[in-house]
Amino acid sequence: MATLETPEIETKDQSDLDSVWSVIVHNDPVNLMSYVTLVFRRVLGFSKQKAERHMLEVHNKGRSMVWSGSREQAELYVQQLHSHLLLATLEKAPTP
Amino acid sequence: MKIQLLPNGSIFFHQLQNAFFGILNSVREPVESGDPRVESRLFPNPTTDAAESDLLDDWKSLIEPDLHDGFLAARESVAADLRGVQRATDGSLQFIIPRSHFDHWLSALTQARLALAEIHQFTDAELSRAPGDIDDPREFALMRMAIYGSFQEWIVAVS
Repeated sequence: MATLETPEIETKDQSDLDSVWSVIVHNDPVNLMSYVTLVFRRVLGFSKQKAERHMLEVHNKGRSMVWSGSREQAELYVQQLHSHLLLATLEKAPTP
Repeated sequence: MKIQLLPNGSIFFHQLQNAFFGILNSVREPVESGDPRVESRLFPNPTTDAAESDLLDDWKSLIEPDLHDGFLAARESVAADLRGVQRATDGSLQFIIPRSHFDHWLSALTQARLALAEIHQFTDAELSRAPGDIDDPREFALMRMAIYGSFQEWIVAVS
């Protein structure tokens, strides 16, 4: 009978899992403001007012921190924002 | 061109001229040009931290293929809708965007606008002004971006 190899399981560093991570949306001059607002409402569940506030922050300041929390959820949000063609990154939130 | 919102929530575009439809019909072309700058913009990195090599590697191998498939599916859905174009008795063209395809259109139009911006390396100033002489390829590209942007605004407005 053939033996099965134990798969190598990689785990994230515990400190990474414990840290707070931020999702940052970056400005680009092509995406329409109405479209960015729509994406914020769809992906992040923002109200119209909150979505517009963050959209304007991206537009005026070049970036906006739209969510913070676990790394896993941050990666998921970045993936969803990328699927809507927004520029988004995750960053470890600065320790207070 | 006229735009009508149908009772089932679909959008009916009619009285389109051939040239205008031709611009719509070429929405895939800049995205599928093979320009590496287009690829870089459509598939940006999820982090600016170069130390996150594991994340970057996983993103490339696991996430980007899914994104690629999603973007392609959107372009193909739009192409199918455009193949349904009909010619009216006055010679103008008409077609319908079903409500269930709105997100595909938003994706495909955004892809095209981003691709055109990367291919032509437009400045912020160029992107903010109206197109000039469309015999100039750059100005024609700006016009395409403006037309695709208008379609996006109409779809967002009824989404």
